[in-house]
Formats: sequence, C-alpha cells, structure tokens
Amino acid sequence: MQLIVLLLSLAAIGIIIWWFFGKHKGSRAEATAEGGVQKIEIVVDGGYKPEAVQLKAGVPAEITFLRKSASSCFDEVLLPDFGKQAQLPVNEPYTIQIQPDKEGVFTYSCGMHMFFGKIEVKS
Amino acid sequence: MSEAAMTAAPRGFKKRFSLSLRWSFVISLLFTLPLVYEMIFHNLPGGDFAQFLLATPVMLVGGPRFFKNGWAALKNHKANMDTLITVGTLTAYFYSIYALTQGLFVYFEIAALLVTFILLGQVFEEITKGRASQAVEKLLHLQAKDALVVRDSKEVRIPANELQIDDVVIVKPGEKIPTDGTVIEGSSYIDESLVTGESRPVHKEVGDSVIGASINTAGSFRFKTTKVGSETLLAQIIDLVKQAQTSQAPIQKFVDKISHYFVPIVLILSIVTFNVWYVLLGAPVAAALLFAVAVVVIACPCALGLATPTALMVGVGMGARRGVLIKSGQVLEDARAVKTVVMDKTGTITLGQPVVTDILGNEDEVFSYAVSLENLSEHPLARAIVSRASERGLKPDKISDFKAHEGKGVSGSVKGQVVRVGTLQFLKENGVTVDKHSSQGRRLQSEAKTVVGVATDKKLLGIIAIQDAPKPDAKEAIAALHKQGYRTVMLTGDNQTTAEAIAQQVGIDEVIAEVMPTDKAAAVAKIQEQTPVAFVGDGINDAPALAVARLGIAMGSGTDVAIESGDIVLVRNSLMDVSRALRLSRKTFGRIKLNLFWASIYNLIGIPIAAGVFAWAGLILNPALAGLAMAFSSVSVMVSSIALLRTKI
Repeated sequence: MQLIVLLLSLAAIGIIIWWFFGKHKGSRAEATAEGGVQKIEIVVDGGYKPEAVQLKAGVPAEITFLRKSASSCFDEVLLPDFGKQAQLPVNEPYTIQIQPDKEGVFTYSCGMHMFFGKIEVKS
Repeated sequence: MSEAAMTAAPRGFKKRFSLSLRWSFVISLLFTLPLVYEMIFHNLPGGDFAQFLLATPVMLVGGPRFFKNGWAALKNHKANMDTLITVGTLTAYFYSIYALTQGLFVYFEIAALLVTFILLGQVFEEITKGRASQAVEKLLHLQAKDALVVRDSKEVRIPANELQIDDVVIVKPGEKIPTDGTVIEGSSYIDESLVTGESRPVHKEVGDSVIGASINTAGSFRFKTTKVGSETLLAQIIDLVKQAQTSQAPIQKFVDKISHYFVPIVLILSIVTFNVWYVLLGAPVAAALLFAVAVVVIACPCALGLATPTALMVGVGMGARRGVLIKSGQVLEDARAVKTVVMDKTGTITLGQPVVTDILGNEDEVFSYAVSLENLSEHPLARAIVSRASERGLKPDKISDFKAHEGKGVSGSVKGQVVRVGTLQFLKENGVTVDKHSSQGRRLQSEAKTVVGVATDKKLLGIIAIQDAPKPDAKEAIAALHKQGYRTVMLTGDNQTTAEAIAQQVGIDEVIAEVMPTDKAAAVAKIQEQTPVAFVGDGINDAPALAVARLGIAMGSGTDVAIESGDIVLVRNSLMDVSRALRLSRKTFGRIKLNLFWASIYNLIGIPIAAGVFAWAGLILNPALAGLAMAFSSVSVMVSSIALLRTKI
C-alpha cells in the first residue's frame, strides 16, 4: 500500500511540474480595427484569455475586460507600462483605453501579481 | 462600462460586490459555529452526520468563489491562492465523507473553518484595501462642482466641467476655486493646502495665478481661466498619482518570479509531507493528510504579491496630499541610492527674485546704458536692472548688434558706442580696465551679491550689485538634509566669491560656481561618477541636469515643465520638501522591504511548522489555524502598508 502511495505521489509531482512549468501553447489574438481604433476583448476567468493580445503600434486601442470570476484576485487589473489601473466589475464588460506607441511586449497583471497577460505591440 | 463611467461610480460597484462577500462570510460563519462547539465540547446532537449537514452548506455557499477560480486557473496552467484553498478544503471535506461512511474520525470542522476564516480574511482585506487607495479618491472629490461666471455681462452659475479657457469666474468668500487661472480683479487669501500641502493661506492679487480646487478664504475676486479639464494642475496631479500607483518598483519583478513557482512548489511540498509521515514515519493516513492539508493552506503567495503595490500606493498617495509627487516605483529605489544632493542656486536655494542693492558710479549714466541692453535679455538679473531703471523713470535707448554671451553678459551698440554689461571678467576679456572698482567689487561679492559691470567701449562706467536672497527656509532645509546624512552641493553660474557667500549663509557643504547653464548636466554627471546624485532644480532651465541625475527633483510651483521633467515633483516651492520627499521615498521603500521580509519569513517558518517538522517538540498546527494564519498574513501586510500613513515626513 505504501509503495503504491509513493508511486502515485511521484506521478502527481511529475504531473504538477509538467502542468505548471512545461511548455504549453498560450492563446493569442489580434485586435480588430474599427474606425481608427483597435478593439479586443479579454475574458478574466482563472487567468486572462487570450493570454497574449497583439496590437498595432501607434493606433489607439480599447481593451475590454470581461471578468467572469468573482475571486478577489481579479478585483483589480494593472497595466503599469500604460499607466492604467482599474477595478473590474463581475460579469460586466469594462473598457480601458490605451495608446500603444512603443513596440514591444508589455506584461499586465492582477492586483496581487499572481496572474499575468501580455500585450504585444508591433508595427 | 468604461474608465470614465467607473471613475464616477466606483463606490456602487464596491458596495454590491462587498455585500455578496460579506453575506457569504456571515452564512458560512452561522453554519461553522456549531462545528466549533463540537470541536470544543464533543457533544453536538446528531454526531458526525450533523457535522456533515453543517459543513456542506459552508462548502456550497462560501466555497464556490475559490473552487471556480481554482479550477479555471488550473485549466490555464496557472495556480494561485484559490488553488491552495480548493485543494486544502476539498481534501478535508471529501476525506471526512469517506471517513463518515467507514466509521472513522471526521474533520468536517476543518473544511468549514478554513472557508470561513479565509472569507473573514478577505472581508478585512477589502476594508484595508479601500483605505490604502483612498488618496486618489480624495483628490477626485476636491474638484469644485460649479462655477459663477460672467456670460453676456450676466453672472451665471454653470457646472465646473462646462468652463472654457478665458472665462471670467467670480469667486466669493468661502467658495472653492473651480479651475486654474489668473486673478484679474480683487485680492484674497487662498487656502491651497488640499492641493499643494501648503499649510498657510497664500495672498493672491491681480496677476497672480490661482489653482483649481483650492479654497478662497476671505476676499472676493475675479479670475480668468487659463486651464480647464484635464489640463489643470489637480487633473495632472491625479493622473500622475494614478500612474505612479500603477507603476512597478523593480523589486516587484523578482517577487513576480517567486510567485510563478510558489503555488506548484507548495503543492509538491504537501505531497512530500504526506509521504514522509505516511510512508516513512508510518503515521496513520488521517494524521499524514492533516499535515499535508496544513502545508497547503498555510502558504500565502498573496502576502508576497501585495507587499510592494500596497506600500507604493500608500506612500505615493501620502506624498500627493503633501505636495510631493513621486512619479514611479523606480524612484523609490533611486532615492535610496542617493548620497549627495546637488541644488541649483537661483530659484531653488534663493528666491529667484534678484534686486539691485548697490551702485557704484553715476547711477543715471550706469542705468541708462544698462537698461538699454538688459531690456532685451531674459536673464533673471536683467529683470532686476530693468525694474530698478523703470523705478527711476529711465527708458531704454535704441540699440543695434545686440548679443548675449552665455554666462558672461550682453553687448550691443548704443548711440554709436559699444556697450557691454556683464561680469568683470567678461569686461576684462574685452579690454576694459576694471581696476577702478575691483576692490569694491570683491567686497560686494563676499556679501553674496552678484556684481555686474557696465562699460562703454573700453571705459568702465560703474558697477551694479544685485542680490538674490536665500529662501527663508533654505538654512533649515539644508540642515535637515545634513541630518539625514546627505552631502549638499550648490551649482551656479555665479562667480566663486558670491556663490561661496550664499553657501555659507545657508550651510551648503560644497560650491561649484561659474558653471554655464549648458554645462550643468555635465557637472552633475561628473559628481555622479563618485556618488549617486539627486539634483534639485526648477525644471525650466534644468531639464538636462534633472534627467542626468539618478534622481531628478523638480521644484516648480506646479508648472507643467516641472511636472514633466522631474522624477519627484514638488508642487510647493519650499526647499524643505526636498528633505521630506527623500524621507518619504526611503520610508516607503523601507516599508516594501519590511513587507517582503515579513511575507517571506511567514512562509519560510509557517510551512515547516505546518508540515510537522517541529512535531518532536510538540509544535503541531491544526489545519484550521493554518488557514486563519494564511488569511491574516495578507491582511497584516496591508495593515503594515497603511501604517505608513502614521509616519511623519
């Protein structure tokens, strides 16, 4: 019995390492342009989906966060590179306007810095 | 909903959300209390089955907010606090159901208590979070709602957001000034404390600028609006504070890395704990399981995650209310490195309002030539000469070939003669004999006066001595910086003797004089080769030096340029605020480090205790208490950040 427990535990540790630290393809989406503004929606539920959004440099962007999770982890979203911070309501879309002038990959996070998303700005 | 709509109604949202969190807690608590009774007295009617009936509603009402997010995160290959709570509570709950069917000892109270304690922690967290982020909300509430304006020769009251540039606004005693502008009629004392932190009411008369959201105390006056909406000083301060509070201190990147590995490692540790107790030490399954559950629920990644942003939020907010605007988290780390404070002289150490104090030679003759040239110059000393000449009723003559020699003086032709006004050295270089007044010139310089010679062709007509007095608080401010352990340096274009005299008056350690305006940045860079520098300037002429210095502190009475160019912006023109800004930055960074230390130590000590490492000494932690410790570790970090508010700066 103890041997079985030990083997199962080793398997569980292996799965944990693979699941959390292994290479997994994250979701990615490109913003759509509408009347000179690029728009994209990010669903907030156990993380940010899509995990990475692509924006065009120099075009004003509207990022709409739709928070589905009531967890206090997602109360707040921080976009330090764009100087934006917001309290996200549950089950209600919330739009943040940014001006992505600089090219690069910018990380944003929840208020507790546990969940991260990426904004990729390309020309 | 958008950013703007949210700014208008953040409270409504918070209220609605808090209610559901608080109700979840209250309901969970009601069902958990009988389980606590059973824990203590072991005579709950209905026995184990009653415990099942009480714990189940707690899991159904309080649990889902953690379970749902824990599951959603897991699907995204992510893990956080919810993952740990989910694993911990569900393990205790489902093991107890299994135990109930097998007639073994049950642990329903642990599952229920865990959920209730963590909900309680979140309620506290929400309350403290509200306090930490009050600064911006308070600033937003400062804005005036309406304004009395003159439209078509009539006085009408309009909403403040409908004001336009060049509107004439009437402000009555006790009223709030609705926007930024310039006084055109009347005078009054204005209380600017809420915007700039200036404690004494400031006298304003025609030509003076007024700041929106400050309060008119006594008199009645009219002003013309110069800035409205997002351009006002208050709007810029709010924007700056918001950006700073969102910014990251570089230390956060390191913390983020730890957070990434934290939860999966804790899960692995709990499996290891179970195996050590059950497989290696031969403990019963239930005992090993309790140790494993305790490990999972005591670990708190949130305390680590909250350590930096909450302290930053409180520190930046606190500065904003005292007229010290810290522009980012990076600034705090830079301020910590600073050892030397370099200050520009004019307008920073001195009042920036030079006045003529002595004249050698024929006064009318000296001034009539000097004013003709200085009338075209933008140098602060030129203003002193022009103002004195106009007091004497002297008018500038027509000149040609005007030339400004940077840092030296000006020259031009007046009535066919070459006139030069500038330093004695400048005149000497151009063949003027200055011996006549050189000894008096040195005497005046030793009295902290700037000496300007006036010459026609090669003949020295006379000398004008100009003094820019030190600010009343300069001596006290320099002493405060010394007390904090900083070396102080004054940087000026003035000659060595005058500069040294001023430095002596205010107690500056070192003087670097005769520095051309364009060389200020290079001078700062040179000092910085030895020690990190904070440069204090007015932001107008000093932008390059502010940028070169490790820490740029712009003093500018809230001018746009100052706001743009400094790492720290001092809204008031007080030199004392330099010491306050450096102290606040150090204290805030110190608090971040303290929070991170506490959050790390909590986990480093808590996890081994929960795992039963000290069981040999009788130190065993009930998983429910481990959960309570977890819930309050993040609350304690927030309370620690809020405690910054009690710090004196």
